[in-house]
Amino acid sequence: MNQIRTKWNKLDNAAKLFPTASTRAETHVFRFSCELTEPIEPERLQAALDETARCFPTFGYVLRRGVFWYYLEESRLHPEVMPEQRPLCARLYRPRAKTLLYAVSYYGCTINLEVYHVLTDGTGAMHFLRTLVMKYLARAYDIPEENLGYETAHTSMADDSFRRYSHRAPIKRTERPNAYQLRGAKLSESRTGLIRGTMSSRALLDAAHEKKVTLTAYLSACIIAAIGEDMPLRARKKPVVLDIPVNLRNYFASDSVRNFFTPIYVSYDFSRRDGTLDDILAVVTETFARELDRDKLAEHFCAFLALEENPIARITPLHLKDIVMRTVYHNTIKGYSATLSNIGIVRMPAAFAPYIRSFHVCNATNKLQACVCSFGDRLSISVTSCFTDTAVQRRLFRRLRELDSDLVIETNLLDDDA
Amino acid sequence: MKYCENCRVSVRTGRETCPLCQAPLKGESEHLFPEIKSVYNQFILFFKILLTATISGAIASVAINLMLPESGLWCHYVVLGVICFWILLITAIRRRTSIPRGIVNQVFWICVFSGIWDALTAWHSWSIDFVIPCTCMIAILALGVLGKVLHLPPSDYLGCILADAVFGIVPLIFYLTGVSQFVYLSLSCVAVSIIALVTIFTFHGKQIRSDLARRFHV
Ligand SMILES: [Zn+2]
Repeated sequence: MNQIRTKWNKLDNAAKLFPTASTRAETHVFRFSCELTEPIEPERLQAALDETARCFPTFGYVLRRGVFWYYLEESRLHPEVMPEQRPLCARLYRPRAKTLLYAVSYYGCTINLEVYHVLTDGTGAMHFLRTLVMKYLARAYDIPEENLGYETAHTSMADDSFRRYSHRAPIKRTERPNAYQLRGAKLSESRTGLIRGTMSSRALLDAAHEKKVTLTAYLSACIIAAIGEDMPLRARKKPVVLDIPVNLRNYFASDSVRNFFTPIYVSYDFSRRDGTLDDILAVVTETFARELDRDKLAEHFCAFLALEENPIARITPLHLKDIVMRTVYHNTIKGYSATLSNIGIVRMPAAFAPYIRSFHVCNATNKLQACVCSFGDRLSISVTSCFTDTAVQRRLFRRLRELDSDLVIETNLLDDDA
Repeated sequence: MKYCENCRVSVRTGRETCPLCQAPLKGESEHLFPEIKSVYNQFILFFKILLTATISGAIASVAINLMLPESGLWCHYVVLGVICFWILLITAIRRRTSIPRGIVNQVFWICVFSGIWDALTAWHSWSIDFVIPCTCMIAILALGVLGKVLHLPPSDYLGCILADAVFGIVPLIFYLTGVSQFVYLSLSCVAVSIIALVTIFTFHGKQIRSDLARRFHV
C-alpha cells in the first residue's frame, strides 16, 4: 500500500505570478545551453541526466492548481533527453497537465536545458546544467567528477529565501510611468527569435573599465542606446526602461536553487537628454548606485510578500486570483521596454574546460531580452525577441563589434523569418 | 563560418542572408539550430471544419423550422444540442492531460445537461432516475479500476473518486424528497458512493487528508 506522504512546496514569491501570466506567446521558459567540442551521444546524456535529476529533487516537481493557490508537488515522472524538435523556449507547462517543468534536448554539439521559471531562476538552472555537463563529460572522456562548489543538501536547495529574509515593511506604492514599447510584425506561431553574439570578455571589460563602470552597466547603456536610436519622434515622450533582474544571493546568503531575484529598473528619457552613450552611462551608474543596496532590494520584495500575505488575498479562490494577478502582471510589464539579465561567469573545473566550447542563456519574451553569461574568455550575449525586425540587435552588435572584431553572430532565425 | 561584409561580423548559420542586415553572406554553412516544423497541424483544420459544420447545421435547422411553422417548435433542441456537444468536447480536450479529472468533469456536465434536457422535454424524470445515478456509479467504478490498472499515483485519482462519491450521494436527496419515481438505481448509486467513501477513508485516510491540506492551503 502506498502511504508515503507526497512532498509539496508552496510557490515562492517570484513564481506566484508566472502560472497565471504564462501563455503560448509568453511562456516564461528560459534556455541554458552548452556547446561542446564533439557531437552529443544521446544514451550517455540520458545516463548523466538520470544522475543529475537525483541530485536536484526539486526539479522533479510538477505544478498543480489548488483551491486558493498553485503549488508544486513531487512526481514520479522521469526526464528524457530528446533531439531538439520544439521551438526555442516553447511552453513547458500547460494548465492542468502533469508534466515536468524542465526539458533536456540536444542538437549537434549542443546540450539544451529549458526550464519553466516557476521552478527556479538562472542560478538554480546553471547549477543543474553544469552538473549535467560535468557528468556527461566525465562519462565521455573518463574524467573523475569534481565538486562544483554549490551546496548540495536537499533542504538548503529547497529553501524559500524570500520568506527567510522578509520583514514587515510598509507598502509603498511606487507609480512608474508606462515605458516605450517596441512594436512591429511578430514572428509566426508566437515563436522566439534569437540572435546571439559571442565575443571576448576581455574586450568588453576593458571598454567598461575605461568608462569606470561595471560590465552590466556598460551593456545596459549599449542596449538603451540601441533601442533609443530609431525611436519615432512622438514615442520619445515615453522613457526607455530596462528591467534588470538582480540575483539576491549576492546580497543575502542563500543556497536555494529556487527563485531568488528581484528586478530593478533603469529609465532613460530620450526627450530630455542627449542620448549619447556617456550620458546614458551616467544615468545607469547613478540608478545602480541607488538601487543596488541591500535594504532597498529587501524593501522591494517585502512589498510583494506583504501582498501575498494579505488575509483577503489568501482566501480568494484561485480562479478570481488568476484574473487579478493577470492584471497586476500586465501593469508591471507595461513599465519596461526590454530586459537584461546577466548570469555572470560560468565556472567549470579545469579538467572539463577543454571539451566545452561555450555556454549560452536565453529567455522567452514578448518584448526584447538580452541574456549574458561568460565562460573562459568567451562572453555570450543572447538577444531574444518576438519581432521579425532586427534593427535593435543590428545596432547593438555593430557597436559591440567595434570593441572586438572577432564577434561571431549565431541565430535560430531562418531566411524567410526575417 | 559565413561573413557579412556590411556588418563586418562572422555568422555561424545556414542562412543565405545576414540576420542583422539581410545582406548576402559569403562562406561555409553551419547549422547550430534545427529547422522546427510548424506546430499547426491538421488537427486544427479538423476542428475548424467541425465547428463550421455544426454551426451551419444549427442555423439551417432554425431556418427550416421557421419555414415550416406547422411542424411545431423544435429548432431550439438542435441549437442546444450543438452547444452541449461543444461544451463536452472542449472540456474533454482541456482535461485530456489527466484522465481522472476529465472523468469527473464529464460526469458533472452530463448530469447538468441531462437535467436541462429532461426539464425542457416535459420532465419524465429520466435524468434523475437513470442518467445521474448510472453516470456516477460508472465513474466511481471506472476511476477505481483505472487507478489500479494504470498504476496511477494515489494523489492523482483518490481525490477524483472522492469528488464523484460525494456527488453520487445527491440522488439520496431525490429519493427522500420523492422526486425520483424509479428508486432502484438512485439507491444503488448512493450505496456505491458511501462504500467508496468508507473504503477510501479506511485505506487511504492519511493520503486524503494530506491531499486536501495541499489543495486547500491558503
Ligand atoms: Zn549584416
